[in-house]
Amino acid sequence: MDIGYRQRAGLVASLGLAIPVATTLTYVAALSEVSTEAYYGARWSDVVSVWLTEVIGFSIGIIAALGLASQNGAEKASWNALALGGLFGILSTAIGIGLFKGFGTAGEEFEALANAIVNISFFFYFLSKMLIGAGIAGIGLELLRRGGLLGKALGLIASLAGVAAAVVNIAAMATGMDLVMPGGVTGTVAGLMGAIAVFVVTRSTTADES
Amino acid sequence: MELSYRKRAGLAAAVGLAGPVVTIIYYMATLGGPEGNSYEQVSTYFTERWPELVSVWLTENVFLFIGAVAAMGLAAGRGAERAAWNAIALGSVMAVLSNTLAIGMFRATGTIGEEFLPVFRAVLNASFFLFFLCKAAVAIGVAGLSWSLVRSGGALGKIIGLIVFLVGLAAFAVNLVAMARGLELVVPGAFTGSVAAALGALVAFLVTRSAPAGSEESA
Repeated sequence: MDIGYRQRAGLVASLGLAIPVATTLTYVAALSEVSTEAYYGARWSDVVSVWLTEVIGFSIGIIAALGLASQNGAEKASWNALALGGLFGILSTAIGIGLFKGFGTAGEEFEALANAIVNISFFFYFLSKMLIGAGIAGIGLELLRRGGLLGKALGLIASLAGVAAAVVNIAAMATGMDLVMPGGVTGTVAGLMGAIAVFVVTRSTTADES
Repeated sequence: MELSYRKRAGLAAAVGLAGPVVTIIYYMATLGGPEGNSYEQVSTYFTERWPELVSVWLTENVFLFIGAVAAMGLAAGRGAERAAWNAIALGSVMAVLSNTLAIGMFRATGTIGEEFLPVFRAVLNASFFLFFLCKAAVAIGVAGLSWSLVRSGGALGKIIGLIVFLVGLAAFAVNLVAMARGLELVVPGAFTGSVAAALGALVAFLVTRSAPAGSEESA
C-alpha cells in the first residue's frame, strides 16, 4: 500500500478512536449528573449533540479501518476488529438517540421497557468496546514488534489496555448494567492508548512490506 | 484489481444505489405513509397495507445487500476510491438496519393499542435515525466517487463528477442535520439523499469503466 495513503488513513483511524474518547469524557463531565427530567428536557439536545459527534467519530473510524484492513501484512485482523467495533458503537448510540427519550418519557408503565432498551444499547456498547479493545491489542502488538524503544513501550501499554478492555467488556456483556463503569473506563483508556498507537504504527509501512 | 471484475462489481454497485431510489419512489407513489399521527390512522395503515409495505422494504434490502457486497469488493481494490466505497457499504448496512426495524417492529408496536403509541413513535424515530445515517454515509461516498471521476474522467465525466460531488455534499449536510433534528426533516433528507444516490449510481457505473485513479493500472 502506498505509504501516503496509509498515513492519511491512519490519521483518520486515530481520530475515529479519539473522538469517542472525547465524547465519553464530555458526557461524563457534563451530563452524567443531570436529573432524568432535565436529561429528556432542557439537556436532551446536548445529549444528542454528544452522541451524534460520537457517531461521526465511529463512522470515519470504520471507513478508515476498512481501508487499512485491505492492505497486506499482519494488521488486517486488527483493523477489521476496529471497524466492526465501530459499527456496534454506532448501533449502541443510534438506539440511544432514537429510542431512549421515546421510551423514557412514555410513562411509568413503560419503565420496564425503557430499561430493556437501555440494556440492549449497552450490550452493543460493551460489544463495541470489546472488539475495539481486541483490535487495539493487535495494533499494540505490531508496534511492540516493530517500534523503537519508545514505540515498544507504547505498544506494550496499548496492548495491555486493549486486552483489559476486551476481558472486562466480555464480562459486562454477561452481567449487564452492573459493569458499566469498569467497561466504560477500560474501554476509554484503551481507546485513548489505541488512538496514539494507531497514529504511530501507520507512520511506517506494514511488517510484510518493510 | 482485475478490470473486468471491477466493471461487474461497479455495475452491481450502481444497481445497489439505484434500486432503493426506485423503491422509495414506488413507496411514495403507492403507499405514502399513514394519513396522520393518530393511533387510528397509524394502526389502520400498518394493518391494511402491511403486505405491500413488507414487499417494498424487503426489495429495498435486497438492493442494499447487493450494493454493500459490491462496494466492499470494490473497496479492496487499489487507488483513491477505497474510502468512498467503504462509506457506501457502511450506509447500505445502516439502511438495512433501518428497514429491519420497520419490518420487525412498526406493526408490532403500532397496532397493539393507543397506549403504545409513544413506543411506536420511538421505534419510528430510531428507524429514521438509521435512515438519515445511511443517506449521509452514502452521500459522502458518492461525493468521493464523483471526485474520482473529476480527476480521471474526460470533459463530460469531469462535469458530471463535479455536479454529483456538490449534490453529494448537500445531501450529506442535510442528513447530518436530520440525524440531530429527527422526523421533521424526513422529506428534505430523503429527497436530497435519493437524488444523490440516483446520480451516484450513474457515477459508480462510469467510474468503474476504467482503472481507479491513483492505482498502478491507471498510471
